[in-house]
Amino acid sequence: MSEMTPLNYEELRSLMVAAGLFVLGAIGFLTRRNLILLVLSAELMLHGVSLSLVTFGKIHQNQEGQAFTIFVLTVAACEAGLALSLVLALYRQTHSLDIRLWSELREFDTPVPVMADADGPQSPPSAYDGIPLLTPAGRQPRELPRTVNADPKRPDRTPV
Amino acid sequence: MFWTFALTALLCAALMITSKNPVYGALWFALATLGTCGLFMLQSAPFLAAATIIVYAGAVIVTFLFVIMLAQQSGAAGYDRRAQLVVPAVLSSFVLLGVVVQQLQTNPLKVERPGIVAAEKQSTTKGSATSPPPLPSPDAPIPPPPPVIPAMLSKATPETPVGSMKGLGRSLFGDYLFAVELAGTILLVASIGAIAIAPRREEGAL
Repeated sequence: MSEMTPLNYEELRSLMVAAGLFVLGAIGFLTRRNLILLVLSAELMLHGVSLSLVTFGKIHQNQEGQAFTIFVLTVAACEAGLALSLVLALYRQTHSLDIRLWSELREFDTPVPVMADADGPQSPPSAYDGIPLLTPAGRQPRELPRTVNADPKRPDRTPV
Repeated sequence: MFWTFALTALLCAALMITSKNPVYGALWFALATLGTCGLFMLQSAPFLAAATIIVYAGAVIVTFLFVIMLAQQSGAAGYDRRAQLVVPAVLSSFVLLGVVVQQLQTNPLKVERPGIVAAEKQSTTKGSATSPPPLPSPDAPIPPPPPVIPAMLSKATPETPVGSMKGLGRSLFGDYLFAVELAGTILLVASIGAIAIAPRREEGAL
């Protein structure tokens, strides 16, 4: 029969250091305003998780903790690459790395949403209500020349 | 030794999240990574320590520094000097840390120790003199073959202790072969996505 034994001191202190790394990363993620340092803080949290996984693997005497950590490493590398290209794309729009500039995700020309019970001028209902505004992409379509009654077969068509 | 690495990691992490200059922040993060790799080494994971150093210090930090230097204005920006939400963030994070540490110290975690148990079993079976199993009588019905249980390749054995390259390779390419393929696919997709997202040269300079 296998016996259940409590964790020993070496394992406990390693887990505590892992928790400390995770918490420091969390503080950095919540308090910093630089986009790049946010990503770095997330990586610090991943370090704490990796250390926990390795310690668990050693406690249970199997390789799975280290195998999982290798996958964590892979995902962290993917995340760093994607996050940095996103940061560059965001920097092109605002020329700043401040996270506060992105606290609102609405388009610049959409009106500020008004609460239903809030007093104030309500915007008139429009046919475009409820249709999301998308970021303009691609080439702007060329407007066709509008000639007066160009089609002789359909005389009922009136020019716009 | 343990506390050297642990203090390096924790201190550099604290300096990283408090540094005003993001370049210094990235460098402190590299040092914290080195401390973590030392802890990996102490937890009998030398391959993992080497891989982490290569990936983080060699690739991630360099990329981060490139981006910081591309996007950095001269001097520390205002958003680097003033933090946001300091008190709630620190409070909630330290509450989390306190709960974890308190739970670990009261120590309700009890784990099975396969290594110790296996060693004890071996010693007990070696001590008792085993008689050879009796031969089955020829007219007895043939017992059905035992069900084939796939061996767990991730279990540490005396030939492949925890953290050895051989054992880790058997675990990764035995038990987790499908996951390894998936991880490779994720890397490919992420690199394609990063190239697609990143601003192109014809779209203008930063």
